[in-house]
This record gives sequence, structure tokens and C-alpha cells, in this order.
Amino acid sequence: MTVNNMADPRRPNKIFRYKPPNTETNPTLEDPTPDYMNLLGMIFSMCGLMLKLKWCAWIAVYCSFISFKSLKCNASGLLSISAVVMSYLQNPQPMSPPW
Amino acid sequence: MLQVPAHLQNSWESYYMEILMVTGLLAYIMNYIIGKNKNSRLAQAWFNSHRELLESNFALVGDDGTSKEATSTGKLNQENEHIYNLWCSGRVCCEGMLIQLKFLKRQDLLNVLARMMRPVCDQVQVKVTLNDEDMDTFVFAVGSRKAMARLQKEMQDLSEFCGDKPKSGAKYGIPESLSILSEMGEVTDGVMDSKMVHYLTSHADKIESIHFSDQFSGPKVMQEEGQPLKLPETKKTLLFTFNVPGMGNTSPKDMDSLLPLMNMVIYSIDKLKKLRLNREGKQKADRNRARVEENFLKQTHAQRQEAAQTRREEKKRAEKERIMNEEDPDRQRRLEEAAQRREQKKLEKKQMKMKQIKVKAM
Repeated sequence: MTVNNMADPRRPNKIFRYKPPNTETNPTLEDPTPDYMNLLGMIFSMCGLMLKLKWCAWIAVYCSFISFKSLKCNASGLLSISAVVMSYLQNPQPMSPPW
Repeated sequence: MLQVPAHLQNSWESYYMEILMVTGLLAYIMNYIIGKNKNSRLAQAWFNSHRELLESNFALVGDDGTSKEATSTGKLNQENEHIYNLWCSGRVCCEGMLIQLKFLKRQDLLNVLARMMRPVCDQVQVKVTLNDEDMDTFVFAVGSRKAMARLQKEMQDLSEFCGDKPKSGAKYGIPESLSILSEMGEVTDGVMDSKMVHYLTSHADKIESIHFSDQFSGPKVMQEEGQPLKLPETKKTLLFTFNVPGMGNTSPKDMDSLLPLMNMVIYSIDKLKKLRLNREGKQKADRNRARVEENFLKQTHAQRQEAAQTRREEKKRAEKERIMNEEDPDRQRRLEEAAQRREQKKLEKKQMKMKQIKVKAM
């Protein structure tokens, strides 16, 4: 421990408060992955709903999970889950693999 | 006997793709919970091993900036599932210290799979901000060769003030794997005392980069117009980036091995307060800073002229509009005449100046 034996280095009168970094001035601080995944999830959800493609709906659910925010139940996550549910309600047959 | 096609069968076996999908999702959720918990335990282990040192050096340990009173929260702020930070303040020789624990995204299964191809390690970043009197004017960095090459390209101050290629650390008694970027030789000699050399030699594998600067403004930022119109704001800063041992397979016990590095941080803060350049060094430093400012002003001269012209035209247009919108014709006439007189005066002043310049030139 490198405590100065001569004097206590602490100064309660020299306290500065914490200021969270402003991500607008420094965009490199933000991670864009959740936003991209969110957008991808919405696109795949729409494809799954309109084109009645089950695999699109499932990919949308995965994208929503990866973007973290769906775990706090946002629009994209709910949309992807409803895309899966709707495609199975309309066509209860199992999904066929693409190969 | 013909086999009934899969999609016409009614058994659950035909839903194997769906079962695979659900299993995948469950695996993702399990990994999320396990990964998040592991990061949380690592963060807590780091804080437990460093708490005593930090509390003996800082009056405020832990602050989220939201409470009215400046009292220590005594805990880390969780930014997300893999980044934790801690703000410490209330010490001699510095304004404050922000410690960021940048763990791997253990909670993201895709990231876990990607790391199997390319192992990466957790990092601890310490940023100490100083008052003007806490540090003399110089720029210095030491770290792994790869990090120094990258920082010299990316960082505004290192590219402007440390233009020479990174020097091998072997010259100063530190491992060859470390390189040095320095504004001048006197700074390197001053920073690399025996204690610093001992710290760097004993913990070279954990040191990614150490950056001391009175001109710190972060990475180079390109504005949309091509060049910023004013010099970026600088702050006297010490920036340390440490690699946590284990290359991703970190255990809470590994956090204890980072404690000597925090000792080095505290030692550096106190040392830089006392490190002062001699007269020659100070003059060289001042010349460097003046040179950088002059270069910047030259590069942005055209943009600043254009911006000034735009402002003048905008002002004229606004005044004309005000005169046009004036309902009283007498008042309108008076305002027009006043504007014309002002224009005339400006023109006469400009002509006088040109005459004086011509006379001086002769």
C-alpha cells in the first residue's frame, strides 16, 4: 500500500462530482450492435408477417434477443414474437429446412 | 409402402427445426444469465481487492453524480452487463479518477463464439484528470508495441507532439515488448525512474498502454465539414489501460494481481506533481504547443474567413429585413440612411487602411 506516511493524501474539500461522459461529443463510446440488431429484427419480423416465412420470424426473434433490449420487452421483441405466433397460427405445419 | 411426407405427419418429431430453434434460444438465455453473473462477480472481486487502497487515497469513492450530497456510494456503477465504472475524487495532486472495468461480453453467446476464434482479454482503464498545477507541460506514452503504434495514429496529442517512431523500451531497462513515445528525451528520463522501471518490468504483460498528457483531447475527431473550426478542448490527463490476466478465462482471484498496478497509478499521480521540466525543456514544450496551434490556425484560415463572411452577410440581410418590415415610412427612411452612413464609414476605413499599407510597403 502506498499511503503517504507523512500525511493523509485525502482532501474532502477537493471533491469533484462524477459527470457521465457525453456520447454525443464522442460517438466511439457508443456500441452500435444493439441498434443494428434491433433494426434487423424489425425487418425480419415484417418479412415473416407479410411473406409468411417462418424462418424469417425465427431469425427476427434471435435478432431481438441479441440486441438485449428485447429482454426488457420493447416493440421489436414483441413484433418478432408475434411474427412467429402469427406464422404458426396461419400455417401450423412444421418449418422445412432450406436445404 | 410409401412414406408419408414430413409436413403431413402429425408427430412432434416433424417439428425438429422448431425444437432446435427453441433450444438455441434457451441456450442464449442461459449464457446471458451465466455471463452476466460472471462479469458481476469479477467486478465485485476487483472492487473488494482495491477498496482499501482507494479509500485510503480518496475522500470520495463511488459516485453516480445524481445524489445531492457528495457522499461515497462505496460501490461500482453498472453501465451495462459488461462495463462497470467507479469515480474517485478528493485527493491531492488530482481532480479525480475514473476507473472503467471493461469486461468481455460474456452475456452475448455470439461474442463468446467469436472469442473462441480470436481470444481477447478483459481490460481495466483508469483515467486520472488533473488540475493545471498538478502536471508540467509534456506528452508521454509507454505500452505494448502494437498499442503504441495504434495510439500514435489515433490520438490527437500523440500524433501532434510525439511524431517520432516509438522507441524500444530496452534502452530504458524495460522489456523489449514495451515501446515509448515521448515529446522529448528529458521527459522520458524524468518519468522512467527506478521505481517506474520496476513496475513496468514486473507487470509488462498486463500493461496495454500508459499515457500522460497535458494536451489530452481523446482520439482524433473528424467533423463533417472536413476540419473543426476551433482547437479541441484539452485536459491534463493520465490514462492507463491494463489487461486482466487469463485472456478471457479470468477468475475472481486474478483481480488481486491488478492491485500493484493501482499502486503504480497512485505513484504516478504523486510523481508527476513533482516532475518539472528544466528551462530548456519548458521552452521546447512551449514552442511545440505554439507550432501546433499555428498549424491549426493556418489549416482552418480559409474556413474561418468563410464563416466570418457568412456571418456578415447574415447580419446585413437581417438588417435589410428589419428595415423592410418597418411600417412607418419616416422611420424606414431614417433607418435606411443610418445603414448607408455605416456602410460608407466602413468603406472609408478600409480605404484608409489600404493606403497606410501601401505607404508602409513603400
